[in-house]
Amino acid sequence: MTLTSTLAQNLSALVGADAVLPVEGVSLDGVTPQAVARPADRQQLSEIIKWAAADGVRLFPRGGGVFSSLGNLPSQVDVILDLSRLNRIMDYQPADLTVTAEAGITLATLRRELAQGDKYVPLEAPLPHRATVGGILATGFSGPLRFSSGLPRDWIIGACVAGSDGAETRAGGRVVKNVTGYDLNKLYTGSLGTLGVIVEASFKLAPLHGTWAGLAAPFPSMSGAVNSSRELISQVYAPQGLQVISVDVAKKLGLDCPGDSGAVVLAFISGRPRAVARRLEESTRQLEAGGSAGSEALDEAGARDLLDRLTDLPWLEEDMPSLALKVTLPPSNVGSFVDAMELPPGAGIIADPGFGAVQLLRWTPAGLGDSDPGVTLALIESVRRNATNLNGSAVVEVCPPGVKAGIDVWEGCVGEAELEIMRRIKQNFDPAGIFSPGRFVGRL
Amino acid sequence: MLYHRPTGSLKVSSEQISPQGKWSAVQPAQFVESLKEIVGADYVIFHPEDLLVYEYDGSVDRSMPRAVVLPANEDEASRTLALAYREGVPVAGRGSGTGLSGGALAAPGGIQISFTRMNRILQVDTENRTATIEPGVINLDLDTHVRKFGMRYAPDPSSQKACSLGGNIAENAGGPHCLAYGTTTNHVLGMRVALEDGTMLNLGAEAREIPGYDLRGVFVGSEGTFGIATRITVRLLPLPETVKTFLGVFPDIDSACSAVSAVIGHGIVPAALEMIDALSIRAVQNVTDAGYPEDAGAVLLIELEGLWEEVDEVSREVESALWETGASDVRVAEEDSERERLWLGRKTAFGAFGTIAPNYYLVDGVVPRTRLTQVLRKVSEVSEKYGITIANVFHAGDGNLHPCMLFDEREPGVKDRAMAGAAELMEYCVEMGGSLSGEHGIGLEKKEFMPLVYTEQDMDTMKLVRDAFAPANRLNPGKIFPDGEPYEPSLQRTPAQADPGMYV
Amino acid sequence: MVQPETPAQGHTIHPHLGQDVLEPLNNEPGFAGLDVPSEADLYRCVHCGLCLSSCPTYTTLKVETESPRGRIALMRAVHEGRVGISERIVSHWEMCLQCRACEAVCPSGVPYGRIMEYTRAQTLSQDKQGAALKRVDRFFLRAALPHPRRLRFGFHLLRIYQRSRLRTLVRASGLLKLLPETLRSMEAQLPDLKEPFFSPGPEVYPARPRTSSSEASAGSPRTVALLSGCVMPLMQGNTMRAAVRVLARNGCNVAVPSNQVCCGALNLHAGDLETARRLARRNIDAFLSAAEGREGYKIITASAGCGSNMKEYGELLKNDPQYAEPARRFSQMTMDVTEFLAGLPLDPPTGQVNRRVTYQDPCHLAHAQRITGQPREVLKAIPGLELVEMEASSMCCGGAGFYSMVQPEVSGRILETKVGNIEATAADQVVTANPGCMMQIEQGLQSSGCHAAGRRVAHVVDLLDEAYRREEE
Repeated sequence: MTLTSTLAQNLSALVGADAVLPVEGVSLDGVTPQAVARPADRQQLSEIIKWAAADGVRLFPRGGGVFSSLGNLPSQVDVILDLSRLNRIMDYQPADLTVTAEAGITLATLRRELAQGDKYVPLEAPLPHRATVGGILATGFSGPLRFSSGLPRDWIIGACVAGSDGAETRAGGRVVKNVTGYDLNKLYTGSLGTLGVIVEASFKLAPLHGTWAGLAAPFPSMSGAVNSSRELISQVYAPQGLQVISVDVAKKLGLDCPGDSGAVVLAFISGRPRAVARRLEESTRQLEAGGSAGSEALDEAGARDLLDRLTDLPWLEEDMPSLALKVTLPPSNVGSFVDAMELPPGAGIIADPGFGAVQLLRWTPAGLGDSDPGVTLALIESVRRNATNLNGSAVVEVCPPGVKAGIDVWEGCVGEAELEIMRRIKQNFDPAGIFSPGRFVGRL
Repeated sequence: MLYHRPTGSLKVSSEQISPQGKWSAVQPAQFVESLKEIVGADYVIFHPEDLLVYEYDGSVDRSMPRAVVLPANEDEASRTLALAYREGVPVAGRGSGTGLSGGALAAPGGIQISFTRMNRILQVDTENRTATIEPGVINLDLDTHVRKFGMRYAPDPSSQKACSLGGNIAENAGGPHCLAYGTTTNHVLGMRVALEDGTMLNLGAEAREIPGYDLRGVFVGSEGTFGIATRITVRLLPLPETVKTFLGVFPDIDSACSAVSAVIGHGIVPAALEMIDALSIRAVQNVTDAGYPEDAGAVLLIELEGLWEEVDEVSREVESALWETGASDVRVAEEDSERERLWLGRKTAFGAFGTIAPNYYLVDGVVPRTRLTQVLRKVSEVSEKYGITIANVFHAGDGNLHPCMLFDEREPGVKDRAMAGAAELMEYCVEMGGSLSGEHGIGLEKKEFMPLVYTEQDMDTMKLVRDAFAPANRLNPGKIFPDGEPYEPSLQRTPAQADPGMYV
Repeated sequence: MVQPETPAQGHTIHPHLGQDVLEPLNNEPGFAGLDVPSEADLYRCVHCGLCLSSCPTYTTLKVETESPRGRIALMRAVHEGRVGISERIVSHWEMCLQCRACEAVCPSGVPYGRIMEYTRAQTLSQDKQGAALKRVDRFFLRAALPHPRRLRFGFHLLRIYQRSRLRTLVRASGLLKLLPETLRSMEAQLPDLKEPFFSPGPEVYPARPRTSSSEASAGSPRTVALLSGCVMPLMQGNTMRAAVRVLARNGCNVAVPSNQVCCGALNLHAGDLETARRLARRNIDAFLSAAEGREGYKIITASAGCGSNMKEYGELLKNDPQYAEPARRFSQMTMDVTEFLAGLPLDPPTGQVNRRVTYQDPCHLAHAQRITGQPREVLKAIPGLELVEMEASSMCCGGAGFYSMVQPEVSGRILETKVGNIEATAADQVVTANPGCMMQIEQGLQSSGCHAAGRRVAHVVDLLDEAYRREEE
């Protein structure tokens, strides 16, 4: 360990060598940190933050690192704060439908523990064995069921956050309904680690029962698929999740898709068996009436497997897309957005016509490597233009560091007046600028 | 004996203005004239006799504003704020004045902006299931309107017939159906808000998710201290295929509580799950026939919604859970008129307490739902200990209690006992892992209890956000956070001469 | 027994408010005398605000001063001595229609109508009435209404005025502009007196049950007494005759006692409790003497406003040692004609009235008497009649007794909303159950030229009578 930095040495002195990890192979958007700290407990975390604040050391909190491509390119990465050891379940009350857990717990572990009491937390994330609760909250991640399950902001009821003075403060609580004080939970959710380190969070839970089913309905065209889905989503028997995927995405999921311009509608249905059966039946009927041919019903295992693979797809380390954009817009504009997009080779779409979200993914075609930044930039530009025209916004979630260096991944997402308030919030919470500086909207 | 508020004239000493506010050299009369220039002479209320009706909301506190301004549109609202900001005058937004924590009351020397004229439903977007409205729109009017399009607005506070959406946003209002659908914050998509200096911001949009800090999320429930919403876009839900309402009749509170646990324990989250105790049943039946059996110890009102297959299956489970936990009767209402009648009693209960005692003080504590039995036992202990009648009608499904202390203020010392009892209950709720307020807000009346829940550092962190939105703290100052003064409510009635024999 | 705290200590102030000031907001007097709103009634209001959206003046004017909660707050402030009865405060009280919509929705059961009547009694006794109300009270409510002969004579003159060319001349000449606004609006509001007057008298109209097997005709005839009223027999004589026929058809001998007088409702609403009590006593004498020994004797009225008042004679005369008990009995016997008819097994009409109608709930029927279903039941019994509900059918039309004369501007705005709601139903005819509503809506329809203006605003009994009469066709 000849390359051990001064920061790493200082950290070792502060919290012990045990809490300092090697930096080899660790990077944030291609930038190697000077140190990786893995506090053993909250006390150590607090000490690290105090030390960082005193010395102006920049901290980048991290859970499983699944979403570490999110955000603007950091100019300098001092210390990555690995929170994976803060992974206890502090309080689980199945009968109250609440849980409180530390932020470093993985979603898979949390789900497993909750299932013991027949409950689940309606959070979604790719690679749940790595993705942590803290990471899901910091990114505000949502998946294919967001139409019915909502977003992490809808399920968090309390948070404990270590601020820039190293002290933990609480907001919310452990009860499902609470208007005592400001709802800082909402503020922390999606703040990408720029206001403090989420240490612990409490959630409302849902009962775990019933069954699953799914449906894969191929359509000859993307717009036909979106239009049919829009109609289905407005029915009382709408499925819990409805995604429209383009050919390339379908292929990666091993699904049949007609022609080069076709699409597949994926419906995910859960609940009581009789209701699931009816939703499946009516959805099939409606999608077929809308032009789908040869739809395939999925049983519980098939549906859950497909749901997991779809959620994971854009975030698989072994097959990461070189570019991923997420567009959010009014649901009725999803069709227009999809119609207006001209996709270059290797690009695919996952659209959520119920919620109003479109993921645009591009896996660099073999042989091109990273050598087409022009195409990438043009694609980003056209996605943004389309999104803005349709009252939406686009965030670049994944892109090659070389391209990222020249852009603001959040560009156009926030108006100037609102950004001013955000700047003040950041300034008030983190006056020294030690938490993930430069990564967020407006390079906060 | 004659009393009135010091605001009879517009002369206000500088100490009465918020610490940050500086009363500039402008004459009070000139200030009123300037307000009139913005909204028109008819829409500035400044005569002390008229202001008597703006000193209250639905809560126990009173505070007379310096003036009330009724803007017709966003521009007038923004200019009013800008003027007040320049003159150092604090501002409180007011919807219908039905709040229960004093959120709409003016700060000393402050003005109110009343939004009753801004009550248009601007747009209903059936495609995206959204509605865009002005802040003065009444909650039920919105719901009634969008039902014509097969949709509904889910948050349904008991005061929905009168309360405004702007007020709902300030307090993050709840309601019985928030059990399944979440409170106001889960239904607000976008807002245009005016800041303390009149600057306009757009928080959120038509899209459900927006990048950047969730300013919209933290704004909802900020009790009018961050800004004032002047244009609101809310999410609508489709009407369910089937709705079924159950009335479970129980011999006592304990068995009703165990029924609540049994239902939730079965993995059922109904659309609504409400409890009404014996005293409240009596009060309701005094004024309206809601069909609640008058000899019941408690009733549960349970509503299921969804596909008929779901409702059908779940309703059998609910019914058996009710019988198993000792229900003496279970009634099912499927017809709209029957269901409305059952709900009517629930929704008028608080007002109906007026038939039992002239004063009430409502505790809005919330506890984990498994603690309901314990907390309700504590409620009766407190009732006995302090000699105060306490009625319970509340959102049992999410553990949101509403013990209501009923008393007659003219009885010497009773008010102090009621307040002490309320404080003990709030402390107990927090001790049980709960919180001070589930849906009414902290406002004036609960702010001194905040330290039970939050440390000074927690509260300082909250204030960091307020300082970003409203650095001069000119909006609704003096609310939410304790200022060290012991809380002493000015109760709603102060009889000069009482004839106890007249009392019902 | 609860002992009042000494007020000096009883009044607490939130710390925010700084010091309390022990002087009233003005130097006007407070409530005095016996006819005052009772403290128990005033403090029943917990200012929850649930009344707001039902109040026509609040929803029209949008200010709290013109809301039920605000008016009660002002009464309380007066009661507490924080303010005296000033012109400004009276103006808010007099903006009230006394429609009692708030009372019907109040979860605390605040008897708003009663409180407002006592408050009006205070403004009257202290000579604080607004100028418009004072004029109406003096020249119409006191000088005309309580005096049947004087009133009838006046209406004869009016009819002559209307039938001659005089009115055309007066209207054209602009002479009306010389009249105060109230009288001008009265002049405008008076409908053409086209219908023959109806008169009380010693005659009893005999029951004429149809010789069918209907249950109504099965028993022996019962005797009921019909309130003739003050203005209704002069303006809507046809409706009065229809009421008599409909009752007779349903097995009633109908008496219209000749010594009866105006019920006194408008006097009561104006706060003139003395006149109201005097009239009540006379009616009690007139109607109860006829009740002796008659089983099932009912006092029927076709006017919702009168019925509401007559049902509250008990309250009005509760402190009258001689009349308290008879007043209570009188009140118990009183029934609205639609209430009475719906309570019978109604002899079903077979004549067709092929028409689309919409029903306006009279405030004093829907809110004060809580009668909303019965008039609709009667209407639904009429073959061919299509009843379409208008939006906010129980919201006041703005007529509200003398209100349209005292507050013509606000009354007009409320009427405009009502006419819009009527128009939206595309009804051929409006039907209601109160003479004041009939007049007010008639006027609104005429001036808007809406579709329903083609037919006279009907009373429920008019349509039932029409259906019976069409049986012969």
